[in-house]
Amino acid sequence: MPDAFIFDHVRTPRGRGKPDGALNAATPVHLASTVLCALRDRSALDTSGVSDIVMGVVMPVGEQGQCLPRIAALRAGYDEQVAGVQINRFCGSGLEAVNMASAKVMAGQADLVVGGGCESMSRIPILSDGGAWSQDPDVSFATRFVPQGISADLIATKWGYDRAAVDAFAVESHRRAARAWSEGRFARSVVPVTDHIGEVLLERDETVRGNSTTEDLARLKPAFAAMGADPGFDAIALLRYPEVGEIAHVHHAGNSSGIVDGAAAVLIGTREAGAAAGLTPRARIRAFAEIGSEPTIMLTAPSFAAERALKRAGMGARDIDLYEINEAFAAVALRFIDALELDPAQVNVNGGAIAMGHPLGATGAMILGTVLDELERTGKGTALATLCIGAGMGVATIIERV
Amino acid sequence: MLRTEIDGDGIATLILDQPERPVNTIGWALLEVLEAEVERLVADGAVSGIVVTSAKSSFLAGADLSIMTGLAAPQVTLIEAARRIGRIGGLFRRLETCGKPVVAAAPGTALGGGLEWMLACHHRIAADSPKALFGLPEVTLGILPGAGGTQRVLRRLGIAKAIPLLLEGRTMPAAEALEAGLLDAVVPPGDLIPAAKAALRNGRVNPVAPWDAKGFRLPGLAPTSSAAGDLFALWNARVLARTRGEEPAQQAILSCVFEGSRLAMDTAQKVERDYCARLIQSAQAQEKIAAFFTRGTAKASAAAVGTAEAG
Repeated sequence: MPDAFIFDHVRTPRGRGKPDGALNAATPVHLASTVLCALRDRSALDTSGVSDIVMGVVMPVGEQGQCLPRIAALRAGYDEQVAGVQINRFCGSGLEAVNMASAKVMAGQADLVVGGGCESMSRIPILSDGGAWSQDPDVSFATRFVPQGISADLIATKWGYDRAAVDAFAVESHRRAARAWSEGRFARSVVPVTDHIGEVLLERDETVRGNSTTEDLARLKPAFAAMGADPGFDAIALLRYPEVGEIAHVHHAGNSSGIVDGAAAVLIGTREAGAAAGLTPRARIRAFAEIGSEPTIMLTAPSFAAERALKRAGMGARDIDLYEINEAFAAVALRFIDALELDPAQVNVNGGAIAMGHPLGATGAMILGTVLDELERTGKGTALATLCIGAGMGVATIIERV
Repeated sequence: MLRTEIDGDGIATLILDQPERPVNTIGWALLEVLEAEVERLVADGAVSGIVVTSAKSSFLAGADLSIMTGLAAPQVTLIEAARRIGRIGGLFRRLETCGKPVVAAAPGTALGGGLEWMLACHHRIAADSPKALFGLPEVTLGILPGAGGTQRVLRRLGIAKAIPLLLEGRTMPAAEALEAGLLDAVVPPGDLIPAAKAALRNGRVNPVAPWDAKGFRLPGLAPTSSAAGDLFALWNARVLARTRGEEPAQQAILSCVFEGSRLAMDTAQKVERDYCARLIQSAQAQEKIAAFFTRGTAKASAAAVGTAEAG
């Protein structure tokens, strides 16, 4: 089986996903084509060697619909033989796209593939695609559907992460992200987004607040207490978790992932295809895995996915130097750290989605690139990136530098 | 159990009058007679319109005990139960689509299947009787209106108003039913049949139900709108939290509204019928049905004793 190597990674900065966000004027196709252009231009890549572009887009409707990766490739001026496919594994889509791209390479059915993702949350709001899970009674009742915020608060309650603990985690995310920016740790991967006359819309992640304090966060009201009471999502969660007694609502906008716009692309391929294109491999895809778990608590699957990937790689948790867990909610990351008995200092070294935001379809590819940059910066060898995913899924990817 | 009078204007008045019963109820025997009578009136070129009414002080109080328990008999498969429920809905649907205008004229109470029948008529009039009650209380028996009731309430009122009405199963006086959009007119008791015939004579009754007309859209929220999606998610959670998932009838009603809102009437009615069959064959519904009819019998005997004593 051929190995799949990462040759390059680029991402946009993340702009606040609101009408006043810096990337609001950029269309989703423009965001995706920005990273595709950068990936091509900085390596003088002949795109006729790329067989496919796999991108996560979680709300593939409206201007973000119609198989955006193919449309973005055409708009970016890729060779017209380069196909594109949009995939959706909710919040894990960006990493899943990289895994699928890698799988094509490992299966010997592609030489170079782009994996990545794109999401303009300011233009195509979350839940724009509807969906049966929450709406169709037949499904909603059977799965004990609750929104993710309730799941996050359930996790915090079950494992005892109180308000102080989740707020402290959030402050640290901002502190780390601010430090990473000030030290230029993202410089290799972040490409500015410009408008069509070349004016820069955004060149840094927009939502990082390095001076954030726990005192500031303590003033925010819990975001999910109201929906817990009416229509009664707490009661639904307690049907499956009666042992927690009562759900402590600790999450709010300040300790949950931000709603942002952004895109990312990762160039994956065989060693030979890379060599032919004059590319140097930066890391090897060592293993990846996806998994499903109980959907009401929903967000504890990263550790299960990580364990599955580690097993596949013949590794233990201690064989990994650096971890990236998507900070969907502070309690998700805290639980992941505890479940794998990790040192917090090796996890999300440069902050995460609480500080920089979570552009749904793109985040997985972004954090994989971030951790690769950090491996290189620190001279370390192995990393694992993972995300919690709606409906109880998880996805994980292990990379090692070559 | 049923007679028809055809007047000089070609208006056929179909009068329900089951012998030896205080109220009309739907049983298989009546259904068979009704099916034949409806076909006869539809085929009769001299009949220009139909009034459906009752010789009792009430109109029609749903299905009788033999239907309600018979559908759960051991030898009746789920598919057979659904088919039999579909026969009731099929009769109402036949009248609704027969091409002739049909007016329901209720001298009094119409509950469950009785109101479902009225809803299938093109125009609904009730006599202003203080004791009359209207509603779809099926949910309180652990079942749902399975003869098109959920679908016609949905199509008349829209998603937002239909859901609470169907979930609650409350019965209400005529004035309130009028206000809720379940009735078109409430008239003094003496004017009931004249008003029904006048509506037909004046050509005010469209023989095509709104949902059978081209371009029909649900009133209120569009079923695929995000607002409707939010509303379904809200009600799903509310009902699940409130019932702990132990009231399948409420869930099935939500399913009928959710799925039915996306379907044409005939397909929607099949979906509704199938959910109804599953419910009616459940032990939970059968317990509630048994308790209800026991209470009813006790009340009726008490009333009979009271009457005898007073006499």
